[in-house]
Amino acid sequence: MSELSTEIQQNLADIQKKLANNTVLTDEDLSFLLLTSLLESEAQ
Amino acid sequence: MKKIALIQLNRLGDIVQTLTALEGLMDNNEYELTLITRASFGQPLEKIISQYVHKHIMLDIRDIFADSKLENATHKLSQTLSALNSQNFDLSINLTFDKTSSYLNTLINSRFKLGLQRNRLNELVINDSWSQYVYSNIMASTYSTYNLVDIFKNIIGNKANIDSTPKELTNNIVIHPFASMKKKQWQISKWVEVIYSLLKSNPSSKIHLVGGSPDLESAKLITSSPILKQFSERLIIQAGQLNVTEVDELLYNARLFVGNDSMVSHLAGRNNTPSLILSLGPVRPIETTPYSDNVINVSPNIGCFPCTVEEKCDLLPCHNKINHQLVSTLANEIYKNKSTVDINVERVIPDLHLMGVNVFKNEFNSDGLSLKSLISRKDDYKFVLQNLYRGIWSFYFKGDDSNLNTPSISEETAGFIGNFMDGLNNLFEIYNFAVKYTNRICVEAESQEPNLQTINESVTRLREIDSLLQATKRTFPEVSPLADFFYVAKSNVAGENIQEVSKNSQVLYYEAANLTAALFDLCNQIVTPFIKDQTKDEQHAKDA
Repeated sequence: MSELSTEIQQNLADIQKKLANNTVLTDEDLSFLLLTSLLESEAQ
Repeated sequence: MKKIALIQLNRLGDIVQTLTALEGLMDNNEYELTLITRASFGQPLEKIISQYVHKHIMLDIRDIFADSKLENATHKLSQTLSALNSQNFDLSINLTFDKTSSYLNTLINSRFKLGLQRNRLNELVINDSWSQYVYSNIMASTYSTYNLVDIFKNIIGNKANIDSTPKELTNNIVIHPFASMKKKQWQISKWVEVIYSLLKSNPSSKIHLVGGSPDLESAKLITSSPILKQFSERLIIQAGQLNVTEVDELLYNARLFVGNDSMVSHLAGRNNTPSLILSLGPVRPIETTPYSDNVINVSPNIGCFPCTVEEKCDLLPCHNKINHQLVSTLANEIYKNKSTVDINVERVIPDLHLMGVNVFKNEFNSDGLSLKSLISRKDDYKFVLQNLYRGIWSFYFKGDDSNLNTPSISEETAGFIGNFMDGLNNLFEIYNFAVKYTNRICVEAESQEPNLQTINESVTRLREIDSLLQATKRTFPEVSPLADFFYVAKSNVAGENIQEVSKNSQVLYYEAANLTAALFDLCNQIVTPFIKDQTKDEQHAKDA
């Protein structure tokens, strides 16, 4: 699970960088955000 | 045939409320409906869901993350999204209002989208007014004005009425004394008293205690009570024994349902079962009372009610406001009458037991389900404000002015409303300034040679207006429903360029000013008799 968490953190950091540079997100990015959000909500 | 995707990722109760909002749409051959749920909540309701929609797609999150590998999880989610998008939806409607659903709505390739979604900069976008209303008012405010089913119906555009044809009823009583959180659940010892009273007064009745497997121990605690031993043959534990569909079938012709606000109460509503519902803690009665007019709703009349889910409360004072004699009497009356109609609460219940509670009867009017007080006392401030807001929202969204009623209030409430009017006055002035500055931008932007400095100055003023709105909300929190709605609406205003955005913003500020003025006038009508009375009193004092 920690491996999963590290990978997620890395991808999220990449997306944050894109947003900071005003770069538009791709479907893949949004799909990844959906995935992390599902994981978060399931943990609650 | 138009293909519609409906996103409901919340819990069981929200799914039942969503289904109720879809009543009648399946019979209309113009639409093909697909409901998207989380597997953990959609699975238990699968049979009931199939009565309302053509297709049911479940997001199985445990399966997606089954092996803890991101690559596999991404692949599985991508497969689910591909399956969804192969449907070629014309419209996707997000009824969930959370982060997860906003991404899902964005990733569904539908021609039109309602409810929360994201743009490519990950900003939240809400295009339709009803969803803006939910986001600004339901998620934050305690001034709920509509039942969630009506809100869902308004978002979807379904005007069908609920079928309430009378049925042949059994002598079964269904009780659900459990809830998803402690703050919503009335004490077990009080439930024991209510059950005792019902079984003793109605010798042919049978009580079924329903709930999930985790409720089994509490159910046993109830049935093992010494005062209930003599009725063991007529008190049946069904908690953890019946699945959701079986509970639904039991409720279909049950003579009475009594319970806390929960998924089971929504099943009772869907079956039009004569019901007595207890709304406690963070439950907002108008929002989640079962969608049926065969319901009596009891809630505490105490300042801290309703609280929020996040607020910590160990003493639960709102629970103590409702005593078991009140609930027993009402439950027995409903059982005797086989309906909630014609129950004269003030005749059957002593004043002493009514002091700390509100007793409402659900009824339908032109803008959906509403609560009618069964106790003839002056309306309290919160209730008055709730109904005033409902009146102006119905007027704003639907042009329906039939709910702009003048309530009966006390002098104390008149004082509160006077203060509220000061807040509305501030708000009105702020919105008029906003109209002025957006107009200035429009005029400048449309001129032959727009002056950028003039435009920038007006933009700065509009930013200051946003700060003024925040300050007004802090001083007069009761104006938040209006201020928040128009803030969210303005943030989502349509337009491709500065001219379009300014024009649309101006219209919105103009509407905000008008609606604020309408609410102010209504309040003025309510408090005017008190001002006259006060003037008379002062004159009498002078004469004396």
